[in-house]
Amino acid sequence: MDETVEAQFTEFVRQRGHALFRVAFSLCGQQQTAEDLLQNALAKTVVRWRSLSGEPESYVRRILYHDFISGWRYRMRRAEFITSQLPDEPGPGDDAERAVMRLTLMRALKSLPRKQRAVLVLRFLEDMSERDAAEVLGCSPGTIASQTSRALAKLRLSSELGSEVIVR
Amino acid sequence: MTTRLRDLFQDIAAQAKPVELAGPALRKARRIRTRRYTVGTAIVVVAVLGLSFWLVPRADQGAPQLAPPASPTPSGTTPAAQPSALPPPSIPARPVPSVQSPPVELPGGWIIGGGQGADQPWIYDRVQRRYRSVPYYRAIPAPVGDLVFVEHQDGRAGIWNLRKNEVRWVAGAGSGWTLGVPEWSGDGRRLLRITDQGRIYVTDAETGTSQEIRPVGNSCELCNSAVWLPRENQIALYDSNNPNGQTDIYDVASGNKMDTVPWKPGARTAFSPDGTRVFTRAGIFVLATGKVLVPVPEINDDRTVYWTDDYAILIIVQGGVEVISHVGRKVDFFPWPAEFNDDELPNFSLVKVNG
Repeated sequence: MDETVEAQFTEFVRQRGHALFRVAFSLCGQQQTAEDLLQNALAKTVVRWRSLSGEPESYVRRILYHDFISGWRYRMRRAEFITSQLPDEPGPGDDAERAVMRLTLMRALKSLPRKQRAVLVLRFLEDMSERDAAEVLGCSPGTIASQTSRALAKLRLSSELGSEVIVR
Repeated sequence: MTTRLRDLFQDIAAQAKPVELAGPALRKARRIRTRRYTVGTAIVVVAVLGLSFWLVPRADQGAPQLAPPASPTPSGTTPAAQPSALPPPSIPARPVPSVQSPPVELPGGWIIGGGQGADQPWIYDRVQRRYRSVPYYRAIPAPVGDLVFVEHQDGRAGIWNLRKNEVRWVAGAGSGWTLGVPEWSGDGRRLLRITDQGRIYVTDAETGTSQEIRPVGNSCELCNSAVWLPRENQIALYDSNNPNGQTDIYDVASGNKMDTVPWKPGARTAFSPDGTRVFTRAGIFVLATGKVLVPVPEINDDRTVYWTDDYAILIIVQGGVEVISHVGRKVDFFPWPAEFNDDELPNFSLVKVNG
């Protein structure tokens, strides 16, 4: 592989890799699955590195979100399933109440359809506008708005978060 | 205590433990680049040996083997490719359904036609009448006929003809990584795909040529709601800009919008065999008018839907297949056989047993 491409790619991952991994983790809810999802997206990106016009990050994001939404899994390390048992525990030093809310949100997110989960991650983790989120997913801002509304309504119904969580 | 939703999402993201990303991605990309195939190569025996190291056979059955490629083929096609030797897996390999396994049959003459293994896809080869692994990144068999959509490790999309054992790679318009899951037409002759540039193409499986579908406005909700219509010369795209939630119909031959219908396709959409009704999560509709005929039961974790005959609708779920009637009632449930891992659930394809 071209040394220049490798160097550029490595630098890109050094700068943006963990931020993208946080996105993958928020989508998947599991370390291993998130790792697989993102590494597949990055591998596809480096193969196409020279032909990419503009920011490679937007390319990685598009692959990441579309692969996640389609549910396509390239390496089946672990099943993602809805469980009554929370997949994580509060860490030492965690504000206990805040930790419980975080875990409750994680469980509630897993009950959402994938596209709604993706929209919430774009809007509330990545803090994207409806327009920018629409750009990533290849749809209209109106769709982002409606998917956001439906997802939030489901979260309020399905979780104990209720009025303790404010959207804005 | 009130908490902002954004703050909770930041908390979730903060749980992500740092991992090495560049190295594994580069290694994977190098493997992609070194697995290029040339036209007219001889049979690569190494490939078969490499695979036998990690495909774990059932105790009472032999390991599935790749069929050797055909002799050199006309230009524009390549023999069905053999992989170079694979590195040992870092995770336990999962078995492909045994080569001796009969096809897993479902109501309406459908069988499980393909899935995604730990590192390679597998399909039911109707020519050889057995399950076999496939040396490509992805493989999705057509519902009828002898064709399989394959995605090469380097991102090329191709149509593999099982009978001729040839792959025709998509070039020019329609080339590029395929986002999401491509959709075969019901007659198995054309393929609907979204490329990594966000463009929608219908590819003729015989010629390998592609027609671009040009949505009017933003008629592409997350690019996952494009579906074939029963007449096979049209596809439907949901018009997210229309406040009434209407769906636009596009002519496959020209790529232009032809009509609008009052229902919304989705990931779980299936049409009745007579082409007059459509199943969606919202209910069973009359295709032409959007009139709701019957509601449908809420089914947890539903994935793909197949309307198999006039009376049975199959819904792939975790653990097996739900069967509901054309009047919207649950009538039966078929659990998966033991060798079909639930992790592959989203990637199962159904094909006609005699298609």
